Amino acid sequence: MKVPAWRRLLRPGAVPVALVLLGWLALPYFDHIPQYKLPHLAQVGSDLWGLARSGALWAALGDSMGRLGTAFVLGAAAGVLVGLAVTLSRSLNDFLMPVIAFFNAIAGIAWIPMAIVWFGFGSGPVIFVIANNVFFIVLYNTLLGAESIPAIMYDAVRVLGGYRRLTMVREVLVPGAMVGVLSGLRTGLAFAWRALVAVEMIAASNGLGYLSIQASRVFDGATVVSVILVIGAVWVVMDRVLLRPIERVTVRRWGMVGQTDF
Amino acid sequence: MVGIGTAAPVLPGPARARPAGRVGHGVALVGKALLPFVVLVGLWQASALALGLSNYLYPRPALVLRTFGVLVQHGVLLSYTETSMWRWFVGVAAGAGLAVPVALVLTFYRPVARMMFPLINFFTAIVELAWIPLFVLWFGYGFKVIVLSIAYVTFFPVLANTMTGITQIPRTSIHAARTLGANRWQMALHVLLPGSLPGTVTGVRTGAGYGFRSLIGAEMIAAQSGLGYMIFESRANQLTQRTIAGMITIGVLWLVIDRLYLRSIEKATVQRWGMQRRAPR
Amino acid sequence: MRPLLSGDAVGMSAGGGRIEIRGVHHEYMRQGDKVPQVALAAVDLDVAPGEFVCLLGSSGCGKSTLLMIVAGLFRPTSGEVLLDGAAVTGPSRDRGVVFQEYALLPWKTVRSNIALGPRLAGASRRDANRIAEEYLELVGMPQVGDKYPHELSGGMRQRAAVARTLAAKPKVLLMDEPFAAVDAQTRSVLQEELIGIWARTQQTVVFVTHSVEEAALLADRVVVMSSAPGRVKEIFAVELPHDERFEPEMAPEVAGVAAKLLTTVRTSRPVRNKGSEQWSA
Repeated sequence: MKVPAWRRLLRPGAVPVALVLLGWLALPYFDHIPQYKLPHLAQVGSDLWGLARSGALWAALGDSMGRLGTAFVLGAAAGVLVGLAVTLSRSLNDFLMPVIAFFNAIAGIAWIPMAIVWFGFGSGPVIFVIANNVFFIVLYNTLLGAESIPAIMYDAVRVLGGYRRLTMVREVLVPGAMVGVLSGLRTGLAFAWRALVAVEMIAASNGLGYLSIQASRVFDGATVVSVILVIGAVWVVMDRVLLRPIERVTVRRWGMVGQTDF
Repeated sequence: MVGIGTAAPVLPGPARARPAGRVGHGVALVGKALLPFVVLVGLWQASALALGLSNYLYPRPALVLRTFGVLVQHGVLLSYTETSMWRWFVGVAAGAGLAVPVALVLTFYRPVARMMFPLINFFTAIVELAWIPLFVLWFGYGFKVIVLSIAYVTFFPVLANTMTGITQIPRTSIHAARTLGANRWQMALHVLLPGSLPGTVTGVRTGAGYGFRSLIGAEMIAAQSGLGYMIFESRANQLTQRTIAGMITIGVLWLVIDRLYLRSIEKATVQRWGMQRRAPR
Repeated sequence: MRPLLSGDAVGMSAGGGRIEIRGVHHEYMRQGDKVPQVALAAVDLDVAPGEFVCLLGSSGCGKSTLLMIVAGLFRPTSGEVLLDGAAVTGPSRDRGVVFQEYALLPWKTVRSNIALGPRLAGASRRDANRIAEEYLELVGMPQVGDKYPHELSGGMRQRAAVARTLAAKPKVLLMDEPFAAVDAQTRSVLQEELIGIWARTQQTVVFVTHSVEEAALLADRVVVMSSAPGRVKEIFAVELPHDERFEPEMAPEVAGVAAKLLTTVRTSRPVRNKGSEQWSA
């Protein structure tokens, strides 16, 4: 896997990327497209550089990431806990699941107006809506993971002397549900990231989403495109640096999932 | 060992998957499913009384119910629902309609596919809602922006799932068609498309779900009609009871779409052909 | 409490292991049925300490159900099972089970899987791991402790499962068609190994199989069961000495026993009674 970076650029995947960049470079020669609609590559580059130098980009990124982290941890923790609780108690399951299904159907984003009413503009509604989003995704995936554990795993531990419920939870339920939990965390983070940008556009006064929608209001196409690129890049980094390694050392190592990427 | 699996488990292990609803117990099941909601509305009312918050901060159930009546009477709810659903439908249809042929092309021309994946991955990584400011610059507020962002977010899951569907077609089916003398496009028509259908359907269901969320978000940002617009604008006008009524409508709408349509389409294709996606082990 | 670690950890079991099955009757409800299915009807059986007993019958005869009842994983509708005079009320490490599907925990290494029994009995991690190593040695694969179950072949997984069960030091070993999922070659190796291990530990073994050859090779006594409902039809004592049965020149004699068993199994096929519902599902 030790391919030097410059060699990797020669891979076939670089071709369409290069074509897109070339097309973008050629844009100034099509002078009937106004700059604000599709800013030139150079324009975006200098805008990005300006945002980075002035610190505006880092400030927005910091605001966004802070909210994302808080909301993700809150939502995911609640999702896993409720998921395990619902798995362990039949009556809780029967009572809660219809309600959960209904609230899940109310798209997380639809909570934005009420969240603004309750928390005012700023971080409050952003965290609320995203945690809400993450909660359901992690919850459902935890349930799915727990359900996919073959009953024989529990039997196997019981006949070895695992009589206590706690033993069952520790030895079977938690690790067995891990496949689901991890895919839930991954999906949850992806959705959180999607929602974050949207909610910030609507209900915040800083952050990446706000930066972008503000730029759009003043016809600053370069900043809009800059933010789009940053949003894509941040996701790729989060996925590679955070999520895949976790998956690699757990469920993939246990042979419980196959390769699922493109 | 027939029978053992269905024997009643001795120990209170974790809750197993619930048995499919039996017809005879339909009434009991409905009652069981409704009870939590009755309790929920009760809690809502009680907490509203206990907290004593204003109707703006915490609208009472009765008020929301009355608001429903008003919204229906004035035709607002129906017309906004119609508007939203039309946008959603066009968006999903456009996204899925584009994704399937692209998936076929990428399957036929593997080198092209290998070249395209990094670009596709990058565009998948960009949230569709992040495009909205740019779309607004291009088209102004309204239909186009919303449909475009729904189509964008539907496209990728349909593409990925269709391609996965194609790769899961048994080699033998493909070889069989080849020995019968099928050319590329006959292969596509008779083997690849039907064979990938379960994948496509799953993709459409996922994409339609993303699209629905996208719809509400986009309508809040870039529209002057529709359910998303209604719940957002009502808040600005201090009419949060309308916001809640709109949220409930959105929830019910999605449940109906998902349970009645999408899920049954998935069942019809996936199960009738006995093609189950393999359960994770 | 038996000592977890004697001088010779892999040695004779602590003695005991008499199983008494008294009038065990088992019914279960299949989904949608009004009348319970009778899996076992009035089964009586005694197994002496150190004896190797095979439960033989066609599928659906309740042999696995009976084994699960002895394991304490199923509770009989009526009747009881005694182990050394004490009634079985649930699963216990007294009665180790080897499942057909191995049932190794995929998230634990092979060593941790085997160490689980000792760990649950209170051994320290170090002691438990040492015990695990000894049992890995016993089943002839001392080098795979760090691997995960999915990295092993079917035969190796079943060896690991046997080692895990033995490491919990059960008084009796209950095996549910343990070699049904491995290929014929591996199966005969595993069978011989099992007899070798049994000769050392001298544990009581109850072994479920549908193969007459397997029963003829392994058992002191073969309990032939009939179906619908499951009953003990006939009990055979196999007189051939265990250590000679795997010799090639003994093959005709073993085959003779197998043939005799086969005749009994054949005539114990279920008779389709008029109005019998058992086979309609």
